[in-house]
Amino acid sequence: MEKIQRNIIVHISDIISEEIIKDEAMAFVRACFQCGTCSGGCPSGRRTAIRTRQIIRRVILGLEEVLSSDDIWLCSTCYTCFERCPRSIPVTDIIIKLRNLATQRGYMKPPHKAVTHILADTGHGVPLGTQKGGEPNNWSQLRASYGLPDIPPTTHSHPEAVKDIQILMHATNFDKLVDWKPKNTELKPKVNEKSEEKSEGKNEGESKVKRKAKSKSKSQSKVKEELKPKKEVEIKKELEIKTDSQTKTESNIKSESETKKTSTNKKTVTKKKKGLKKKLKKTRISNKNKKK
Amino acid sequence: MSKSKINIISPSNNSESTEIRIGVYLCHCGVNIGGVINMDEMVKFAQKLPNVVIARQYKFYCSDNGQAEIARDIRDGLVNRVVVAACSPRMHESTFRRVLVDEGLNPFYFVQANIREHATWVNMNDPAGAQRIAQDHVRMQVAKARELRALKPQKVMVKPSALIIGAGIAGINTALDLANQGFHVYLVEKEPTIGGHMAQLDKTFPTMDCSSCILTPKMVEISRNPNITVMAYSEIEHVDGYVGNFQVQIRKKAHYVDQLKCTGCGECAQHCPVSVGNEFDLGLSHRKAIYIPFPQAVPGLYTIDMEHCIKCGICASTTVCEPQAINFDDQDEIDTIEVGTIIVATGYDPIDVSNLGNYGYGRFENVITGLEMERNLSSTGPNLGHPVRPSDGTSPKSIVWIQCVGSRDTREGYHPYCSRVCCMYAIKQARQYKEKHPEAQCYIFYIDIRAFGKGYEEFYELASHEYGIKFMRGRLAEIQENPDKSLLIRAEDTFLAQPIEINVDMVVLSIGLETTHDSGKIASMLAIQKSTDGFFMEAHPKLRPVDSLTDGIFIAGVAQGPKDIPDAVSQAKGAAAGAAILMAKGEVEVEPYFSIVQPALCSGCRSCINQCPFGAITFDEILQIAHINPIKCKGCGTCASTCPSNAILQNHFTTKQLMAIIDGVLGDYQV
Repeated sequence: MEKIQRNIIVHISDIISEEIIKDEAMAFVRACFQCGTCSGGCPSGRRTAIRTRQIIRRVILGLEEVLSSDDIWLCSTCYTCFERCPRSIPVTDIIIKLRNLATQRGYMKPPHKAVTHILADTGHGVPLGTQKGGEPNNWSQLRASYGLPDIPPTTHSHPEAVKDIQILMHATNFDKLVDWKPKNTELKPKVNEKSEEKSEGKNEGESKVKRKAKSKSKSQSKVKEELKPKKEVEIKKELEIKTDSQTKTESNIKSESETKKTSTNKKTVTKKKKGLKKKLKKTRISNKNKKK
Repeated sequence: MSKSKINIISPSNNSESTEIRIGVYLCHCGVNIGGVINMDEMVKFAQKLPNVVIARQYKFYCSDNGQAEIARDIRDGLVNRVVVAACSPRMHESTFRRVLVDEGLNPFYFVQANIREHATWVNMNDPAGAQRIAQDHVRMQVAKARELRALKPQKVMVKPSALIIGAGIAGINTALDLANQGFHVYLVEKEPTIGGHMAQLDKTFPTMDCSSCILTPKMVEISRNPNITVMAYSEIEHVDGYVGNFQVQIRKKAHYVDQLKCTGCGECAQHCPVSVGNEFDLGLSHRKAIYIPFPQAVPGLYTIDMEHCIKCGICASTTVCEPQAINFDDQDEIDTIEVGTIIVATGYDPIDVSNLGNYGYGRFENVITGLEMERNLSSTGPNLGHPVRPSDGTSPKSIVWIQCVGSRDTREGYHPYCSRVCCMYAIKQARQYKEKHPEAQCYIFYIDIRAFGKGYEEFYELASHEYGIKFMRGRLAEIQENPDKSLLIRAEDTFLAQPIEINVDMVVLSIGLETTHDSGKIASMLAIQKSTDGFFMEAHPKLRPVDSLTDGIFIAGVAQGPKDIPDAVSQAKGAAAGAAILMAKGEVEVEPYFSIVQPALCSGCRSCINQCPFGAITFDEILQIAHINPIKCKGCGTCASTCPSNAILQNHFTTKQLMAIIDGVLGDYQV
């Protein structure tokens, strides 16, 4: 039986909105008066659980669940809400920004991760494949009919370039963010090995940003403490069938490794909490002063 | 007003002996009437009524063509009594009376049957029923028309002087407008200084003007205007008279300081050993027993608060008060003034905080009211413009404003109306605090944000967008004090449908406005009415918003209902214009609907005197009968129905006329 969720807002902060308002146009987010035009006219909202108005409200109140929930991923970025917003809020751009923040803070969906893995392995998000049964796709004939070479001049014709992409991903820490490890260790540049060992010893490659976010969210609400990590199978199942965003919580969409970390690294996280909190506060104040 | 000036045409000496010829004019009022009932049938019905010589129908009788048709019938000698069956007489009675006047007929030979509001509007789905009711109304008014008597409107002189009760921003503006037109103004204020509540405010929304900077020059202008007599620290004692001729007794409270000798040097206050809470700062700062409320007070002269004075006599010594202005034997004085018009600008009281226990006020140290916050934010206030937590004197890191405190609440002890200013002042205060403490969190818990005025919505948008003030849609449900004196707020974020439990350093209650505690006394003294919300009632909510129901008495500012400064000033100027019209014309015409005592029938029982709500009846000791002042009488008919001897006749509603109406409607029915 599922535990009863209290679902009470106990901490309101600028932790999300301060990221958003760095952009002058997106700063209008704080002017939102929750009229509901965005949700009411959302084409995606007619078919899915996305409630744009509530996304914006959670941003204003600094509720981290906006990053962990499915909602921001259900937007089709059609820009209808932005067109109609009476307060000129670039809603769609904000949702895209939230996706960036969510990824940085470790709230990435497994299917999205899977796509990045394909990208890392092949150099393409959607690589050229084969038909069912192994028959070659008719893309090569199509290309030929237009007078193009059979294989496009991408990593498909230059498999050696895939390595460059992987190096790039590693240099930007994107590989850790998406939990990608090269199948062929030869491809790994030397710098890679060093940092890999280091991070494995500590936090299994968890990025600094991610840790920060986590510690913050831990301190935020009692709600989250009450929620115990779910089994992998359960989570996967839920991910497939979930449509109701209301019942979504942070933990049941976190990837397997993420949930493990939460339980094993509880102590280290709480230790770091205080220091990080102070740091956060400092940066916030200095941000404000800069604005001033 | 001498009796001889009033031309009373007694219903008994009616000299009209010509035959009564009634014309009935049935108005379609577009489809309002014509779309519901059968007008052809109505015409046939009206034609059969006794004395009706002609019955006509038309789309709009109030139009030029419609009026011309009635005028032609009168001119042709066809009719000499007019019944128009149409809308309410409140709408068009005066229109049709003018037609009669233009054609040389007495305007009181006109009556109007209201078959729109009384018949067709309320019975739209029952045309047959509506038709019957409309017929009854026409029959009644035709019956009355047969008994109509010619009456003559009364004229009274209007004195070119005005009394203004209350010297807040509304009273000040009315006073200046009237004085600058050359009328003499008596500006009466119960506090020792003029300025009212506006003097207590720090800044004004949405322009963020400093309140004092825009108010104090007006106060000085008042004191310098030769046409204005400022009567501070005074109260109205008694009002007599009627439009144009009011006699008002004013109690000038004893200052115990000779106002002519006092120079306002302030030496006395420095030596006074008694320290009490300053009412101007809502008790947040101290004043002496001899004091001026605030440095910019007008008149800037000292007053001794005898309730707290210990009569030590230090201030009276010649070394302290060189002009020797202190006078412990000073006594209240009663002045009588005569004025033509009265403007009531008594303003408001902040909602009584003693009822706000459930908001934690008075129980929790860090719960304060909006007005207290205002004084806190004021650079002349107790904290020199730096609001602090009352519990420890530190600057709060988070403040919650709670909206609609005492307003929009139908429960006993609260007010059902919206106080109109609280949304804006809360936003303004939050912005002011954010300007001083950008890192602080400011929350406004509201039900609706009402930013209705010019520039208000933009002000509100800026507060959320630029200042990051958090607007929380949800009314405060619960408040608790934590051991560290911070406060736990329980409410709902209705946007997310999630309960909220947050801890904040300070709570500001955005209290609303209520009518002054003594408004009942003023209403009965002036014989003006109060609406259910307790504020003074205007003659018409839309078309006569500054007139009271008593002629010659006007209402300005919050005395009429909650409003912000721009609205109060607009209304003050409107009231000044209303009063100026009367005074500039010098005379006023009043409806001759007054009642008359028939001397032969009056037994002198005096039962009518107490019943009169307008104080129009006096007792003639010589003749031993009641006498009704025809100008003060509003024609309500209370006395006529009270009189056990049937000695009182009310013009235009005589017993004979009323009986004719009843006979008319019951004509078909046999008992």
